[in-house]
Amino acid sequence: MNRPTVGLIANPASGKDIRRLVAHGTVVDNQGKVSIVRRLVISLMTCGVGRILYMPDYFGLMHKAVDGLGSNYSFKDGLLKNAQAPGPGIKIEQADVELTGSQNDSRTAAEAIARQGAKCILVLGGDGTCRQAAKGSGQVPLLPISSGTNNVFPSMVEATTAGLAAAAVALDLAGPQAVYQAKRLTIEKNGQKVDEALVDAVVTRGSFTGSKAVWDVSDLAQAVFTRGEPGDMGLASIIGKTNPVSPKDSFGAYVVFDPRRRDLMAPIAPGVIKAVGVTDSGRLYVGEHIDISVSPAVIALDGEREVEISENDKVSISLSSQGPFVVDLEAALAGSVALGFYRDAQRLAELG
Amino acid sequence: MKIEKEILIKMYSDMVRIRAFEHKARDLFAAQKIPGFVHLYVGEEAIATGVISNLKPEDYIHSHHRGHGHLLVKGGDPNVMMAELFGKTDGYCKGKGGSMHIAAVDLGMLGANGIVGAGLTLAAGVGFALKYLKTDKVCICFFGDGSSNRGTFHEGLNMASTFKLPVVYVCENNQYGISNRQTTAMNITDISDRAGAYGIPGITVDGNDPVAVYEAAYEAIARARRGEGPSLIECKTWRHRGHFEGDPSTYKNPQEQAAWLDKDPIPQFAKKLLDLKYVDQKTLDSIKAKADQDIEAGVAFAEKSPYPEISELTTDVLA
Repeated sequence: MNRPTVGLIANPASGKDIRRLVAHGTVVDNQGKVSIVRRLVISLMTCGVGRILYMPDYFGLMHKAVDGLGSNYSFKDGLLKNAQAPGPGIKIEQADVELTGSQNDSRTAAEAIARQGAKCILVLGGDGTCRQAAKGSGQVPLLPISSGTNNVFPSMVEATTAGLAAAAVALDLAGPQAVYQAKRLTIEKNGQKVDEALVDAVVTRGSFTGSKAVWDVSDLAQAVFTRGEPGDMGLASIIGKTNPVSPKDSFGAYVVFDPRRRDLMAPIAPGVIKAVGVTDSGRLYVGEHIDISVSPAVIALDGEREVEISENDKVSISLSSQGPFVVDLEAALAGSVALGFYRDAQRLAELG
Repeated sequence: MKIEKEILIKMYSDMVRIRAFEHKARDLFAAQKIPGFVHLYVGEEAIATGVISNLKPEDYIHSHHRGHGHLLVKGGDPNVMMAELFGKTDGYCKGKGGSMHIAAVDLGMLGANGIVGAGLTLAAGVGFALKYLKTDKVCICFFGDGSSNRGTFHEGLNMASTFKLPVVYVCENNQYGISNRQTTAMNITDISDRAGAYGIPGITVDGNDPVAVYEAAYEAIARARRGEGPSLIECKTWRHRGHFEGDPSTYKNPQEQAAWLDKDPIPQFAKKLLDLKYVDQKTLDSIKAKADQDIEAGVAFAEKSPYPEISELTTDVLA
């Protein structure tokens, strides 16, 4: 039987930013993430995935997840087995990556996991974690799961289900509709590419990256979006509540803000619904770009202030169709249901 | 959030002033001019500065054994501080507190503390008084990662959260309790995780970025003033020196130490202010020169100040 590899990037630093103070964001503690990782491991193992390649981290999410599985489970020489299930177990190995303790770890881990042969990469974190992982995932599809409440790119989904979907993709049982290529925003400063975003690049008046998050709508100047649907939270809700753009549309959108106006009600952070002034907005097609006309300013990428713009900088944001490959969770599960995966005799036998 | 240029330059000046004070304390301790123990704040200056720059003079702070920086930003006079470190009568505690127990109640600095974690409950008590007296004042409690394992952490945060007291708990997580690495002493890495147990906001910020700390403290202090209760801000940082002067820090990984020295908050902030053209190099040089001059004046003041008389031994002390 095909026993593929699935990658796992779980970020212990996500879910702890200032939005817990300035909004009503959930405090996502790492014990909760351990529990999510544990549920992912169980799903992948039960479905017959052969190996999990994971990003090591300073907290030891995977170690703690495996450690708390219970006395039915044994973990020896990198092989996790369940004494009550006759299956071969699952190998759990660290990706070949050196930790730096910075946000780049998610990118280098995704590169290593892709290079080491994973068929799908589960990402547990927020938009910021996904943004980094997407820089390194190449052709391997990402299945992003939200660990918080303020995310657009990752789905709020129960980990057990997400694990089943990742397994279906890795086992080639998800069907052709299960993976799509997302869009991407590229930020160029003075002719050089400096960074990229998966959901939005929002230009804020100010000079500091500081505590990263954006919560004051009076700071907003310009924004470019790859997507924004009616149900979205955060800055993408500004598009979602005016001219929605789906992840699979061949265009994105731009917005120009005016803090003196009150045109639109938008949930810009958990529990924070604000009036936003919009003077101009429209579609942005693949290959087109928007010039940034504000300085000094800081561009927030997928919700985190990252790129500083000084007085003489020439900055533009362009839309590309060449973003990461992403698993459509519902489609992946539907594909595997259609193929009878959950009634497969071998799977049922290995379940014990 | 816009922070005025003048505030940013004052914050930088405060950080440089702390560094100058601490380096002088280091040299004086090595020269055996300062009695007792000295615990230096070198590398952690962005936290005291980012937090206390949001306070009004009438607000309060509780510090710990590494408290020189807190008092300096709260308005401490380097002359009087240095006299206290020397054990002289012109010090804030008439020379009886020294480095580890320096207090300046008139400035709202309720004391450094030699007992690890003691401030956590004392700050809750201050918060209770501030609320009982119907003021809009706040109390900041600075504490370390090690003290978050003490019972006082639970007692303090439990009481402060239950009564919605105007306290902001600021954890200066420099990752070591004396020589004990945080990872060997607790089953979590982010102390902000513990906020959830008390039903209060808990966040983690870069403790080497004074603007990140300022923004977080601004919001937490405003929340406390509104009567919405305490918050927990964890600032990730690194102490450049040993736990105390004389500690060779052999337990630290040299590569990790070097990596953190590269993230020294003072040159990083200086570069940012230069890039923004808020200052030029000449201004930065004059800030440094002024800080050095003030601290030297403090040493001269302390050296001239007399030691307490033997007859003073039992005055102003309890037990």
